[in-house]
Amino acid sequence: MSEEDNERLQPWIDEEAGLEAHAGDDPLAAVLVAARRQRDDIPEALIGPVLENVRAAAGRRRERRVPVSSRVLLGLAAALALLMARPPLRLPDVVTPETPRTHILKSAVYLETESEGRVVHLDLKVYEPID
Amino acid sequence: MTEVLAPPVALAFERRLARAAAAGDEEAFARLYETHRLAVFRIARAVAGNDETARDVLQDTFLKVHESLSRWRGDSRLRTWIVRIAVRTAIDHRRRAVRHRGPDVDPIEPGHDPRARLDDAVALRQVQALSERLAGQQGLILRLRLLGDLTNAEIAVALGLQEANVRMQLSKAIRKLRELL
Repeated sequence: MSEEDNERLQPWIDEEAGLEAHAGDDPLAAVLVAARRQRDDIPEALIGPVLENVRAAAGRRRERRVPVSSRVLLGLAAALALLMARPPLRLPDVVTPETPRTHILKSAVYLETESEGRVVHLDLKVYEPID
Repeated sequence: MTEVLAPPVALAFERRLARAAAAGDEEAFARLYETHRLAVFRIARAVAGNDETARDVLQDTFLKVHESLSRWRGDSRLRTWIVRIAVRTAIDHRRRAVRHRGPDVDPIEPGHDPRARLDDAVALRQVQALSERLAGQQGLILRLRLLGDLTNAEIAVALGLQEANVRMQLSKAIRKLRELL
């Protein structure tokens, strides 16, 4: 095949014209045109249900991500509170502003995180009796 | 609809749609999917060579779009951004497939459309097989242009090349293809 044959397809390479014009007398153009016809054969069944899968997969990723981080934060907070309290841990039954000052605040941890659109507050306070 | 609008209007429309989808508007995301799914599937099939992997690529691409829409800056067309994600995702899937079981193409079949001719299926298979024998990125560029229906500019953006380079590679691919045919 000569360079002229290749030159014929240059407009398609430059995006200026279709291959169809040469499909009758150029075997390569004919093959490319036929391949392109097959390219457009895409049944709805192949691409239709994909959107639902994407939504489901995106939902699963969200679910996986948020609760895990919440659990980790809660676990960390609990571990931190325990460490700071130094065992044996003795907590009063009820501590209110009216509670006689028999206990002192030993440590406090406050955390806030969000899970599935709900805000989760964690307010841990550790008191120690006054000797 | 966006294709017939003037670019600034189209961009503003796309930004609104993307913002809505990123904020969790499922209808907006569905609209976005409807607009771009055929283009993404064509790219996926052009790169991967078979329907099964192409479907995975389609799904994976839109999952990435779903997750990163809020980061789309809106300074280029949404199609350009989605095409780039699709091409990269398809290349990744293809690399994995080749590593595990070699290049994978559908068997020669007349296609899903009963009107499709066996000749067309043979031609498609022939182009896919021959493009595997082209040097460097020539095969990929040829498939993206012919089967993925991308413009030279879109291929250049997706692969990080100059547009003139894409045109040159395509010219070489055609020349080589003629020798191989």
